[in-house]
Amino acid sequence: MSNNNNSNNIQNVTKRLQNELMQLMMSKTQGVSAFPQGDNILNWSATITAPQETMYGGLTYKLSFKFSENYPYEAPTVKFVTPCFHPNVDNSGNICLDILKEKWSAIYNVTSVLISIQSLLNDPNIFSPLNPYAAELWKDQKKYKEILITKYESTQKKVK
Amino acid sequence: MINNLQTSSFIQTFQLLSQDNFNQINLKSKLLFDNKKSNSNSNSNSNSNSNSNSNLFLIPSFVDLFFQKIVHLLQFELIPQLYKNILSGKNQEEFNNLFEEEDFIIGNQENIFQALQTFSNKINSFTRFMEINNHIFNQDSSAKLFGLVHIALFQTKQEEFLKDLIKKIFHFNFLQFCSEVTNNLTDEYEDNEINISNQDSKIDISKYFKDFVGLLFQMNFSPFLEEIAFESIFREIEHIIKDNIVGDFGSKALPKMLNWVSNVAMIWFEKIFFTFFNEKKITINTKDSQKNSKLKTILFEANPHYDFKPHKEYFENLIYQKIEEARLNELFEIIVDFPDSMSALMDLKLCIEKTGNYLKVGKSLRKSYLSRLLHQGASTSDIITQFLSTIKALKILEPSGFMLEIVSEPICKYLKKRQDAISCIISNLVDEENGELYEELEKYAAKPMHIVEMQFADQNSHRLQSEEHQILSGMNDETNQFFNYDDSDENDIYDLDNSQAYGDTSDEFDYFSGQEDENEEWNPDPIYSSSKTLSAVVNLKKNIDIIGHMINIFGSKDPIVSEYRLVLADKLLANTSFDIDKEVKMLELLKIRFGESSFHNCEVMIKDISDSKRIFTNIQNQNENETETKNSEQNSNPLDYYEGEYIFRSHIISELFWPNFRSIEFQLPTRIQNMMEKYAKEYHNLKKPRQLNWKPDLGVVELTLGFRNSDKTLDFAVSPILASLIMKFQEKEIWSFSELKESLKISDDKILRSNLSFWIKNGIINTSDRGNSYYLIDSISEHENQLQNQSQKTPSKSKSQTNTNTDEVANDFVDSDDENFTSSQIQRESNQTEIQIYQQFIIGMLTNFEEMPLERIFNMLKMFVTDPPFDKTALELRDFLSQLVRDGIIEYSNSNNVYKLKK
Repeated sequence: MSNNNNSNNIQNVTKRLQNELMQLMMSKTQGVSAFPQGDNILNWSATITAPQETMYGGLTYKLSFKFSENYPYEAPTVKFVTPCFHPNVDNSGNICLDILKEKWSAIYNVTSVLISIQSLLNDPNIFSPLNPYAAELWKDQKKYKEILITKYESTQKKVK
Repeated sequence: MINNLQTSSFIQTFQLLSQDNFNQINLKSKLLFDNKKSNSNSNSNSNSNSNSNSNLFLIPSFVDLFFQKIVHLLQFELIPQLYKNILSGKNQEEFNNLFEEEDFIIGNQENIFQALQTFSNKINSFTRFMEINNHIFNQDSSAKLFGLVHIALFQTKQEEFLKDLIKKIFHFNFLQFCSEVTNNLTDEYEDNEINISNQDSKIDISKYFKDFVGLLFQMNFSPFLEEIAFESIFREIEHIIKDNIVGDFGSKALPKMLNWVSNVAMIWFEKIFFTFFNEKKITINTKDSQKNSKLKTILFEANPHYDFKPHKEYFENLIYQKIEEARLNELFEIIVDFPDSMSALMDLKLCIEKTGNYLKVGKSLRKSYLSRLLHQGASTSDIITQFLSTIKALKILEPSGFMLEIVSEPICKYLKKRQDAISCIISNLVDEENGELYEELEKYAAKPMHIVEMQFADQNSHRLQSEEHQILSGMNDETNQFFNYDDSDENDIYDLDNSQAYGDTSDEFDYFSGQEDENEEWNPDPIYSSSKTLSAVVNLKKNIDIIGHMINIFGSKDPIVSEYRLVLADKLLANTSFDIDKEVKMLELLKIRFGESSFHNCEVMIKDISDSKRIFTNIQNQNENETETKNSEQNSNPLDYYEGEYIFRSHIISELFWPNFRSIEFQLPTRIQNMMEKYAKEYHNLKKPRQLNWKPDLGVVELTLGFRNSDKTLDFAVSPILASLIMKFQEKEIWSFSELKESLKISDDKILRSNLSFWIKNGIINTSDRGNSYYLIDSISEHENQLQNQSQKTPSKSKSQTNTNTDEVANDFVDSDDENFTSSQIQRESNQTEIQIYQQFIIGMLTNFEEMPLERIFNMLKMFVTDPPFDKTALELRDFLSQLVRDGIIEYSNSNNVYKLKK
């Protein structure tokens, strides 16, 4: 019985994710992209590029999505893979975003989550920070930008 | 000396023989042999004392001489005489031609018979001679005699002629017999089915024919006769099939033919051979049976009590074969005519059951579909109609669905290529009046619920199996994937159902399966399904319904669901009365078949319309109060061309749940705009804080146009843009193209031209000044002239459509297709070609994975591009990737053979 339910769920999740992938691919939304990692459609890689002329302008971040079998009734687990210096992102890449937590709803999807994170980059919630230093620094935009760029470039070097 | 003498006396004997002088022969031969035996010198023989040894020594050569003489006689006297008698003065060709005619045969029967009789008598006289002299002729001699006669008769130049003659006589008599039987039958009974074997005595073969056959039997022609009789019947079977059965699908041919065999053909056959057999029996008794047995046919030897059963079976099998052949050749037409051709189909079914040629029939039908149906010339709706009939017909022919799989595979493949296939299926599906698929939906919905559930459960377990199989055999197994689409779908259906019901149904399996059996007869797997190439096909689902087959074409139900959404959107928007009962019913039926979750959007759409209706009534009620007070003002307005008030309804839709709309920007007449604003305001008052966002190019305007000086009016239901256009001509009667463009704020010339052409076609406006200005036609006679002109122009329509650069010429846009006005307001997404999808996916994956080798891209596409499934080969993909590299979208790195996005 439970087996059947599980496999039904997997079937449903797969279908839903396939549809989302199709939508995402065809929508050509600027600066966000995602794709399943391979054999398992429950794990996705995502890429966010912040719009130019903003704080994070031109920087590209990689993220990972993990969907549970109860998706879309449960939020996916989203993490930054590229270390991200941001008030609402901690050192291990966890993101503090309401729609990924208590405000999750089944009407959200990969695209909407990505767009939310993209806008979160330039519009952080400095009152409930995961990274207090960044939150503090946010007030000084110029300095913030300097540190952000150094940190970003150091991670890029590490990757290479 | 003796030798000479004896020879000469025999020659004399033969001469006598040939002169028909039997008494003399008898006398002579008696004398001759008495003479020899008694050694007396009664005749003029000088060497009467010759010893018996020398006599015995001479006997074989005497026999040889005897036969030599007979051969000679046959060749040069008897047979030429026979032909001469038969031909009775005509030459052969003439005779042959004449012999085709019935009257001639009747007239000549006696003549032929007599000729043969004479011939036979002579042969008989030889036999008798041999019987009398049985001390020199042994048993084989008699056989040899007949052998010689046969050889002489049939190995001469005229062999064919004689055989033909006999055949013709046989056939003619058979036909005569047939018609007599049928006449007799129809005289006495209305019903053909009644067995007539009891009335043997009433119908008989004609006397001449009987004698004729008897004669031939006497000459020991029986094997040959049997062959000829068979051939006659065979010919007639073919003839009947060709004349009466081919092309007639409305009656069951098989029982008729079988009845014909047992009641007509076999009786005739028995009559010939049974009569003979009795006669022969008598002769056998009277004569030395030993002697004759050698001459009897194998047939008679094997079975002295002649049994016609094998013959009957032979003919019956022949009929099964022949009818199957005939029906198979016209199976295509039978299916076209289905279900009116039910009888023909049942014929074929019985035949195939007998012959077991399932594979042959399936393949032949498949072949005829490939050549006759699946080509450019056939319209998609025709193919679908034929496909539907095929499904129904083949289910009857062979319920396990084996043949259907063979046949449907190429049809499905082909339909998938047709872009309009899906819309054809949908229009059939939603056609309440004569849509076959709609019927199926209703049937499905009418099934008791637990049986429906049962099917879900069944399909679900089936899916699990195939899923396992899929894992085992790997994702690259194409066939597997192909057949799994459907399963995953059916699974969806199940999911919508309360998932807990699943457990219940499995408990109740036995109980329900019993009930299901009543509904659908269980049939075992056909034996032929074990054939290797097809086993994969057959093992897959068997009992999917017709709609299931339609789903199968596209691999999943999603295209059907989304197409239905477009159709529904069109229907709802075109419906100005908010009457949605039909659509609600349709949706409910679809939900039962496809599952509720797929139609979530559609439900919202329908709800939007019913909400719109409520809002409309609400606003209207408010307006009524206002208009009552304003009415007097309105009527007194002298600028008003039209009388009365517009009735303005709006469909308020939730954009998210509707398909994309095409959007054309233009300016509505201010009067309408004012009404819209007013409506929007009232809506805002009702549903704060919501606001209306207008789509002015969607919707329907019902117009009534009148002519000056005439009572005649024309009614149109057109798009708002067309209505706005024609309303411009109320302001002034002549417009130039650019003025209109300016005034309506239409940016695209093409759109304006095609809209203008609609009114030109309908004879409301006309163009002058080489298409640069337009004027209103306001007299009825001019309007009619215009219409006539337009209808004359239409034949050239297709020609100018191919020209894309002819916009400048005024007349050409008259011909531009009118689809813009009649067809959907919904923007279809079909113009997104597969290539675009692949490109987007490739860009998407390269964005996220930086660089990928060909193989990985290929696998990813295969795994994640599902609608439509990625069906290209790795080579094709490589070409496509090279194209992208050339286009500067991606780049290829030779060092590690990977592709990445161009930065």
